[in-house]
Amino acid sequence: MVRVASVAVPRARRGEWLQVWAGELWHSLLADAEDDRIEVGRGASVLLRAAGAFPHALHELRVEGSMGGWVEDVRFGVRVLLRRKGWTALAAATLSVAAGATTAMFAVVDGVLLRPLPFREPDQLVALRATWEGEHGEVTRDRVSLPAFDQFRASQNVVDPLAAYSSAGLVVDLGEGAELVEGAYVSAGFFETLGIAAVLGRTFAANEDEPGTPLVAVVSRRFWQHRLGGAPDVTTRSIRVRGNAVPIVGVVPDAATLPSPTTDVWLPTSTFPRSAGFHSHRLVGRLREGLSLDAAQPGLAAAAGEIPEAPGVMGELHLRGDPLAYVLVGSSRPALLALSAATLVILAIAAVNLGNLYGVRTGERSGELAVRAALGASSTRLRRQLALEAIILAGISLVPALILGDALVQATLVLAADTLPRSWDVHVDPRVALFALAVAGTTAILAAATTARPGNDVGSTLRDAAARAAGGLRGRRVRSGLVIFQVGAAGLLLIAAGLLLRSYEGLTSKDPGLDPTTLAVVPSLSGQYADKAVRDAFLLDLTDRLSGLPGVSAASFADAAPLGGHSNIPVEVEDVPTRDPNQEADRVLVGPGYFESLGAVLLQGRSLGASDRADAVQVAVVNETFAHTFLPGGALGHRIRQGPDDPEWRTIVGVVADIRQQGTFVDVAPHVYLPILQLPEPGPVALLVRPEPGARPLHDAVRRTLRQVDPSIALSSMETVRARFSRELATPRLHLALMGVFATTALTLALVGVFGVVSQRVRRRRREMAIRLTLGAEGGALVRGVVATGASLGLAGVTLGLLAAVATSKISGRFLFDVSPLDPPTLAAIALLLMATTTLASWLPARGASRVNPGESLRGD
Amino acid sequence: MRPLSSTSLAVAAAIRGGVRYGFDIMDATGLPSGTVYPVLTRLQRAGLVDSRWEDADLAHRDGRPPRRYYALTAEGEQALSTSAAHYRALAAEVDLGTSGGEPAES
Repeated sequence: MVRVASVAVPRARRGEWLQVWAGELWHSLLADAEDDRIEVGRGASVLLRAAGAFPHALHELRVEGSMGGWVEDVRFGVRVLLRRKGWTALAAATLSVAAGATTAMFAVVDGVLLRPLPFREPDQLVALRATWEGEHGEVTRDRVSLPAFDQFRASQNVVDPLAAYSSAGLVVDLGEGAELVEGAYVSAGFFETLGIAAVLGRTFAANEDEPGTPLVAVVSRRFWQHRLGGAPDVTTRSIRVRGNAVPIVGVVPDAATLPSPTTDVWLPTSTFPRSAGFHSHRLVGRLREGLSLDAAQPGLAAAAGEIPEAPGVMGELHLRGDPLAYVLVGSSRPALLALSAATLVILAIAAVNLGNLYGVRTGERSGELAVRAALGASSTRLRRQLALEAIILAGISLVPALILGDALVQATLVLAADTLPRSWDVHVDPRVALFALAVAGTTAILAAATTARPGNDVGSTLRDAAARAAGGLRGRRVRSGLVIFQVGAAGLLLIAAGLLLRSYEGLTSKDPGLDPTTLAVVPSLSGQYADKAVRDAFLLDLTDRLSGLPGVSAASFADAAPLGGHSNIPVEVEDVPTRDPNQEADRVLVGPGYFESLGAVLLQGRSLGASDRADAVQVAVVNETFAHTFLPGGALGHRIRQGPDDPEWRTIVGVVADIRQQGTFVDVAPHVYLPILQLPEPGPVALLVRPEPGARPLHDAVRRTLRQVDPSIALSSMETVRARFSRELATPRLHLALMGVFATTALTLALVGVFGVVSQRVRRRRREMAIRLTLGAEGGALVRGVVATGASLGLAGVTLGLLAAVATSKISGRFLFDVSPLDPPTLAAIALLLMATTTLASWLPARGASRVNPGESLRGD
Repeated sequence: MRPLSSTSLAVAAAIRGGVRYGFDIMDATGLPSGTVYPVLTRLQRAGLVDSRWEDADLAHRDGRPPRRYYALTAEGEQALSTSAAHYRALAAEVDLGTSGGEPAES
């Protein structure tokens, strides 16, 4: 028992402590024994006494090692740090910066990738991806039609329950006029599948998604609180959706983040069009108990095969499951991980600097350590004291690190706009703060440990320290190596940032082919505009009024705004034998004056106008790419049609310069522009309003005009083309900004490291330099010598950085557009930048050296 | 100088009275081992008590390991008398308080 208790006693005292107890126990047992037998009663009381060993041992531990000792050590550590305020400030600043960057990235990665989705057993949830394999090749959509969903659900059981959801903008009237609310049409089992229970009322009943059942609604808690006044009787009320009163049956918590975290109203699919050709719904389901995703795939594939081909569509349906989390956030994983790696690089660079800072103090440290060792402090105690001091340093850096980190996180969220998935889960919270403390603490302790290693006796401690301070050859080599690493690491990040910059420039310099100030307005048209004649009249009237507004140069409409989607059609060119039977083009249906309102450039012929009505000659305009692809000899006058099922041949009357309808990342496809008035399909609509140069923003004027014509129309979106394209580039812009910040930080830290190492060398050789100066050496030569040393370190670092860039080129290539990861101009520029900055960082201390008064420094010895 | 705590006083007094070994001090004061030993450690660190190993030969002859025995230092004697006086004065005050005068109104 006593032996067990002895574990608690500090090692140095343990032997003696055990002997004291042994002495007493033995004596106790033997002293009064009549013979060699030990009486039971005596034995019991001795046992009792022996139990006291435990509190005694703990007491020994407390006194020697702990409470008294801990507080003392903490106080001592604080005093040491306060004594060298400059050192402490620099060390804390270094730690704060590095920990801040690392913490920010952790906050982002944690919120987006690490935290489990807010559903019940989220690992069991899968999203189904639909791929059609046909003669036209493979088309991947994430959606299927409702009939397909019903059939699929019935014909398999590997994913059960299975639900369907589709986001939709709902026109809702809460008494303040029509407004657009984010909604969704979901199957009845949607909330059960996700494991979300209503906080008030109920979710949908099993039959409520069947056609013919009366419509009911489920609203989000947010919506209930902010828009419906949080009334407890909300389940007895209705909201007006699309003109109809829909009773509310329940409220769901904010964890309901499908289809999006801002979805406010869910409706069942009872009234949703059930057409086999309308691929509207995404599927999400739960794997059956005990089944893995891989094991479930064959079952999914088999069930998909049983779904009859949809009319006029794309071929055989394949379905595969992917973990829901991956589908929602997976695309951002590579970039986030790469950026996190960059912060770890910064941390490493900072750690080296911190280690050097500790090294600077080793001289004075050694004396103090020796005295403490002589006074009886064990090496454990000394080590512990140093560790505590490092932790205090980390504590000091914690608050600035969190402030920096939070600023970086906020900047990231702003830059990402809406393109970062689960951005609502990203914030600096206690979990992140703990991480920051752990990072800072570990770094500080590691840095401290590399330098201070108190020996067990005074002699060795002093010897170690002196050797280190003198910086023997091995120490110098290590230090040089570390600086080269720092410069190389900074170089790698700088190259990455430079490449991202080139890539981003390339993206923004792509000509969109239209006026960026044009306003794209997407109205949400309700049922009364389903009739084509009514709709056309309304649109013509509206655009007439809009073009009449002051400041408006032209207005028109189309079935899609730029970056607003596109349709594919098969295309046949008259008299030109088709090489590829499946040749197709993108099609945009346009109103009169479309090209003028986009500011597109007409290359040949004329644009489409009001005279191109249903009763006139059927015409078309094509883009440059179409002309080059299908009619290289000249497009005007030729006739085309939308595949063999198109009843009309349409004459090409104009060729327009390429317009980036699908955005910056996709190459421009051949486009056909047909007058809406000449086609029977109603379809969606977008308004385009082009301001005169220098005119004031038109948003309010447009809204007013719209309300004049029909106050029941809500606006789905209204933004300039420039804003749309900018949003498209938000992700590369974010990567560029973050990497830029990280690279600059790394460079600063590395230069500090170079400066420090060179300064140290200068200081050590001060005496030698003084002598040389006295003997007639030229100050300039001395400076050059020092700078040369620094520059050679820089050169080695640059080389290391370039090698690292080459080694990681495959990874970096994934984030670049139209730029090689080994792009020579970028690499050369960064190499020059590094050489210049490291040379400067070496020149500053060298300059100081040459100014040394030789007499003074010699005398100082 | 702060007076010794009552347990410390008891231990010190026992040592002064000639009780030298750990377990014997427990017998003399009636305090458990979990109390006595920490007190001994404290007294030693404060320089009031000295400790030494008994004669090893003696112990080995008895077939047991040597014991550690304790003695008061000069400071220890001083502390003991000061503390004893302190407690006596305290006791006197308490006596006066409870034996003299009318009982308090309830």
